Amino acid sequence: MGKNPEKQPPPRLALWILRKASSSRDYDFARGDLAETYESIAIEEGRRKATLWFWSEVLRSLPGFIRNSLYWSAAMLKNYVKIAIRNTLRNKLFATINVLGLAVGMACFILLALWVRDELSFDKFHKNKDELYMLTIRHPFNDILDPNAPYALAPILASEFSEIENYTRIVELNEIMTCSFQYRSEDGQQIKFYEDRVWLVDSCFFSMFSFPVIAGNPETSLSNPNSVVISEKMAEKYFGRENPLGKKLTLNDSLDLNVSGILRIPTNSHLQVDFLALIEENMNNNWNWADPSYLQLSKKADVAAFKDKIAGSLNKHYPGPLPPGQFTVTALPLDKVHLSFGRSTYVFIFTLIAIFILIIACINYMNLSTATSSSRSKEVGLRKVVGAKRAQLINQFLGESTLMSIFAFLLSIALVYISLPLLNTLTSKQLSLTAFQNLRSYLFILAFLFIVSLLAGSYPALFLSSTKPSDSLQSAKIFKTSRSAFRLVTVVSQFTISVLLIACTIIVFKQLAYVQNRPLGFKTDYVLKIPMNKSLLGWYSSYRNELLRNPNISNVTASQIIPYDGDQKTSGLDWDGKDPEFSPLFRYTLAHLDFFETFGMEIVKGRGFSEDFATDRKNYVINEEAAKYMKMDNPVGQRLTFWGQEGQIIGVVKDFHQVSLHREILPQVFTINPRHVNALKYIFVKINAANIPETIAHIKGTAERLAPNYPFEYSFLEQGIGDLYLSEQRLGRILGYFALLAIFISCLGIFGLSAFTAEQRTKEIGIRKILGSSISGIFLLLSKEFSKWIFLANIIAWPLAWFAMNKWLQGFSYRTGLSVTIFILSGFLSMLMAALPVSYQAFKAALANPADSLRYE
Amino acid sequence: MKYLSRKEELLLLAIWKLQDGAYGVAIRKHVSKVSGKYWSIGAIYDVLDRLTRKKLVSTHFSEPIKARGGKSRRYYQVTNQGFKALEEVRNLQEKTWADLPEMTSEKS
Repeated sequence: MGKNPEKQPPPRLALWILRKASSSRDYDFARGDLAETYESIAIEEGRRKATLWFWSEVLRSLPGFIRNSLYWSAAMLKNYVKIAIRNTLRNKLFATINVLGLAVGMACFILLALWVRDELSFDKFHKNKDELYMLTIRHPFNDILDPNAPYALAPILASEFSEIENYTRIVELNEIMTCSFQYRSEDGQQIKFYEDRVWLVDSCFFSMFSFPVIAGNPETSLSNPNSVVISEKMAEKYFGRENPLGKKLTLNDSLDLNVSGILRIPTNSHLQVDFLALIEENMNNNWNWADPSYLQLSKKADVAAFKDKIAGSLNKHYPGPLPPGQFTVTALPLDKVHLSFGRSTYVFIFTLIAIFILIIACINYMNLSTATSSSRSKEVGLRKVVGAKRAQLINQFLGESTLMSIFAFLLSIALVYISLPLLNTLTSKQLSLTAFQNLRSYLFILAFLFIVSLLAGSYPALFLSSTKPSDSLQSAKIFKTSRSAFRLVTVVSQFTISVLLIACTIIVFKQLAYVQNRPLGFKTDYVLKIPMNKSLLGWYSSYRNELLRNPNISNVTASQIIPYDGDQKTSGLDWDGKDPEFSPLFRYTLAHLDFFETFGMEIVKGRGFSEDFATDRKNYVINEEAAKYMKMDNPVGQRLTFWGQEGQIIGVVKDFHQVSLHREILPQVFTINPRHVNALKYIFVKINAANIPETIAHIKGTAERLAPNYPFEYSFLEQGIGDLYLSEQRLGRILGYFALLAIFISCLGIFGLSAFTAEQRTKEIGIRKILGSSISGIFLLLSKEFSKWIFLANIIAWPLAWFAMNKWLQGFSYRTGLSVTIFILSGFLSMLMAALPVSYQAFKAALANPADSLRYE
Repeated sequence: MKYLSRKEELLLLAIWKLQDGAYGVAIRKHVSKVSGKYWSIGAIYDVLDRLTRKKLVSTHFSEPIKARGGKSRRYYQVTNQGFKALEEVRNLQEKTWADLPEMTSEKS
């Protein structure tokens, strides 16, 4: 091939193999012989023959080389294992701390990884997931991404843009009215419950989403307006072991529906539904804006261009006046939906914690093994003298850390098994390790182990192998000075993370306490919530009067929403002197008599609704915020028009928290106009603490007499109010546990390090004691170093914690302050936790008999 | 003392014969020619290493040579011990070969 074939070198690959196989330089001359002979053969018999000869020569020599290297590496391996075992046994304490810390760290990491993996798996099971989008709207005034869209929007878009293949809207029927289902079984038993996951959807629902079907045909199951598809859970609840297909369920004692399908709703779906029925036709002109819509775009669609096209469509089509500004309509990929509404922060935080904890555990390992390594410096020195190469030493120490991490990994799997049920109750998920039983996961675990061993073992390996044999054989002197900078960095970063976690946990808990103890502006104790139904609504006055006759019942009211829940808003208000450009959204509540009294809300001006004034049915009560919006100093007596109904403002109620403390208080208007009586969803009964069972029996008995065909259910409102902050409570609790574990791991590390320092200085302490040093003096000597480190860690961690938590708190409209005391407290806590192990070691060292310690070694 | 093996003897004699030119390639060439059999480089060095370890040969390196990919030659020289060992096998051989009856094939 070359210009001068005589001058070609032997085949490179063969040379390379040869070089790898005989790693030592001793056989250079043999390789030289090969090259020379190769040349002469090439000249005499041609290049091809020579190449062939060269290859045969190399392959022939391989078995010998392999046998040779295997023999020696096996011998070394045996020696490595022996030394590793001896070392472990000699330092039982450190070995235990190492493995335990690593195992706990890994277990935390695995648990959090399971959680994060589950969060990321949401909605990925749909076959068409890449074509499915949620129709979302970005509000102009507060930049909120609204998951809901007007019912009429999706059909209009579908007729306008060919990219949309299918669409389905969801009408949460249970938000509009209370839904009760009733099933009369063959033996005449009546099974009835109230349900709150009842949806009306478009017929394309099943061609878009692919929920696992247990029974029925998904394509035809919703073709009939009298069909209902139910979840597996409901099938069991209503029909037990009977086959539900074709059975009749009665909705609200008036509409008969045939069960035409049964679905299994996976827990990692953001759509959680129990009953599905067909949407009504007239929804196409309904611009109400309370529920989500979903689109299926064609595979070829240019999504970015499509998003541009639909962006302005709401302002273009909306029939009435909208609040000022551009509402941006956009399409959100289905698998992003779950994370887009608040969850992504949690996923981010937990991922971060998982990595932090793993790093802490690895740092522990690094620190302890470099610390204890001074006792191995002689071994390293000797190995070097005898001829160990640096690569061999690195391999030895990396091998040890790999072994250690494999051991820790097995232990951590056991820990995960034990603690998984706890995590599942904390998160109300069904996580399990079986999620990891596929090839990819095994590869992941291998990579994980590899990374952990490398992280944990790299520093000791590199450090130990780098020392000069003459130094390491002489004494452990050099170890102290050269390593302290590195140890400073690692210990400080470890404690920085711990302090960070402590501070964040304290702040989360403080915010939760703040939220839960903040005066909400209404009282929910001893308030019973009863779902309204048609019969009870018809008999409402009688029911109310009957209940009020009971001395233990003080107030009865009805309302469309629970005071702290529900999000009905309208801009359909008008008042004298309203700026036509100003059209804010008001929250509205359709209520009944006694509403303010039942919830203990304070009327600050005027009065509440009263039976004594017949005109009150047309009058309104507003909250303080609304008075501010309407710029009325004295609102009582002013005219107000709500949905075209003109009336007077008769009172102003003190502001109360309407949704959760995440949101600010909105202007609100209350009416008891009977025009809206069908919207009343709940009856609220305020009872006395005395004789509760009897009172409830009375309430129940009366309800069942008046509405025999409806179920009777009740709940105390206090239980409900906790739900608003459920996700924060969970976050807080999980964060708390993992922060605790992180601190535990760092304490283990500190314990080990301080134990080691004390051991190192045994002789020094002995001499100090002989020379008259007091116990407290020695104690101080040993704890001084650690205090410095922890102090430094605090200085670094505080601003970080402040920055992170300030951002998190921005999500709340009402939030606790970030005071210095929190940081000082977390600093104090971290000091305390480090002080415990350190002082234990310090006292042990200080109390030891100097005669023993001087004889040490 | 153990006697030399046939291979060791063969190589030792080759080194002696080649004098100052006794290095891997030359030894291999010579031995192959004399024995009429193929010797791989590995086989040569296996025995040469053994001889070196037994101190029957001494070695020294040449300057690196370009034609050999910048590697030097390792030259071998028979030591006194080597000569002694050779003599021993030769004596043994002569003794064992002396006064033998004629080679006749077995008759049945």
